[in-house]
Amino acid sequence: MKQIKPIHNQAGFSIVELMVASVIGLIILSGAVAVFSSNNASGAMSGSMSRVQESGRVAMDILANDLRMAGYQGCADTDTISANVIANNAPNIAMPETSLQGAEVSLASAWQPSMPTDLGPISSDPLPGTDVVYVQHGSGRTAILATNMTNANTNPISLDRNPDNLAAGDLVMISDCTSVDVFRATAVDDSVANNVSLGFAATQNSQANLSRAYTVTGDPLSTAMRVMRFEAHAYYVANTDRFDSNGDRIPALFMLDLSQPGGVAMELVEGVENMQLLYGQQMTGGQIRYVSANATNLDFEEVISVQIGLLIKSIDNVSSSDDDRVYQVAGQSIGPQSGSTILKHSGGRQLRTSFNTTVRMRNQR
Amino acid sequence: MKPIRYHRNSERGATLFVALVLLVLISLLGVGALKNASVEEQMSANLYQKNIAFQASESAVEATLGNDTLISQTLSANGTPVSQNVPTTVPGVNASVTYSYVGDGPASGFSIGNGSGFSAAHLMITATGSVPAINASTTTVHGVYRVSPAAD
Repeated sequence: MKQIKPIHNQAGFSIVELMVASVIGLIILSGAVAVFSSNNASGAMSGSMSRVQESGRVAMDILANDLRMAGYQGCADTDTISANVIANNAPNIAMPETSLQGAEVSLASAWQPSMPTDLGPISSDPLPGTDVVYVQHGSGRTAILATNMTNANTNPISLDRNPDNLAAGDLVMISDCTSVDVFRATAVDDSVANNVSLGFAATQNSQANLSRAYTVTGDPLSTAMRVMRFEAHAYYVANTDRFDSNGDRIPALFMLDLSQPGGVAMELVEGVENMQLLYGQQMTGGQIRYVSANATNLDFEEVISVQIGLLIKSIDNVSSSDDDRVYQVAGQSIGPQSGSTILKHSGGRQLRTSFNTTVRMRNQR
Repeated sequence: MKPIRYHRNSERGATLFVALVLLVLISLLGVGALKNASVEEQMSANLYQKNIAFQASESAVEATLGNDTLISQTLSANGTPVSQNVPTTVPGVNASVTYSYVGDGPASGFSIGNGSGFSAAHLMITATGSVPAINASTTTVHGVYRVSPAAD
């Protein structure tokens, strides 16, 4: 019986068993590692692709919605009635001339046509070879007077609601079918429901009275009298302060909000490398020609639609090879090498997608 | 008999257990990826439907823009808005327009305005395109005016 015990204690692997097991283990492990790393790469790829598409979607949404409204000032016809602007430090509001303005920024950073004076704060910001577009309009989210004005200097005025979250310092447009006023709100009190008090003191306005007394006529739902935020936005592509893993600055779509004194620049969408616009000018014969901002004889007042193109790149290096594709961005080719008709993108192993859309501007002409 | 019993006792492996745990982990990963994909699909489907609703409302405006009958009906309705459905060619998409009178004012081309003997009756077209199945809808508001001799 004692001879059996040692056998009992030495139960274990033989060298052959161990080697077979470790070989099988290694095969399985290497397979798992390969699957994991390729999953990882394709995960990063599809993540970057989603980010790029999301950026494109949101950037296009913002641009299209803003451009579509260009020139809106309520019932008053933009061609016939110009706004009475009493706000201090306001941008140059002379619609329809100022409802839509655009410029190409050349490779030497020169603006063509010349830069609208309002855009002074960003004169050297836009990247060479990109476009800048500047739109003005009243917001589509309107309120009406809760109490009619008794005379032109009724101040503050009272609104039925505050759909646009107007606050002190904002530019406000008030209009009906016959006149338009733009003033800067100096005090907003929306603590009382359906009775938002909106004051415009002479501290931030040239005077504390409007051009006339506005009143609500007829059905409140369809009355011509509207109060809304006045929006003046310039869109451009510039570099941020952040760097990608290649040590390059990350470009982004920026917006300069000119409704605030001096303009406030803010970053909107990261990864936007280029923005191009083609302006659809309606000719005397009724036909539309699409041209860039620096085209001869382009009158922005005759532009009734705009083609917007964006080139968006991922932040991370996810492609297996350098990007050598040529992208079409609103009629402009952007490729790995620059030429007479082609702009250069920054190449590298980033993913790129171009987005194009056309917007009809209802309030132009 | 004893050797057999001894063999049975030595089978203390955890292969089945480990394999099951791994299987559960992998299927969790798979379900996660599926969920991600379906969320992304929903996002793009929503965008698509929103676009359809937007196009429906825009074309409802365009389709009725030159419609004299609607303008006349609205102007003679004493301030009551006039609504009309607009047929769409896309199944499951509805579109309608509501014409309402907003007021009189000067019009382009008649810039002399008051006193020129002409005035423009301004109307507001509120067009709604909707995809009822997913509760998507878009409203487009468009102005239109009719120039007529002013009533003194």
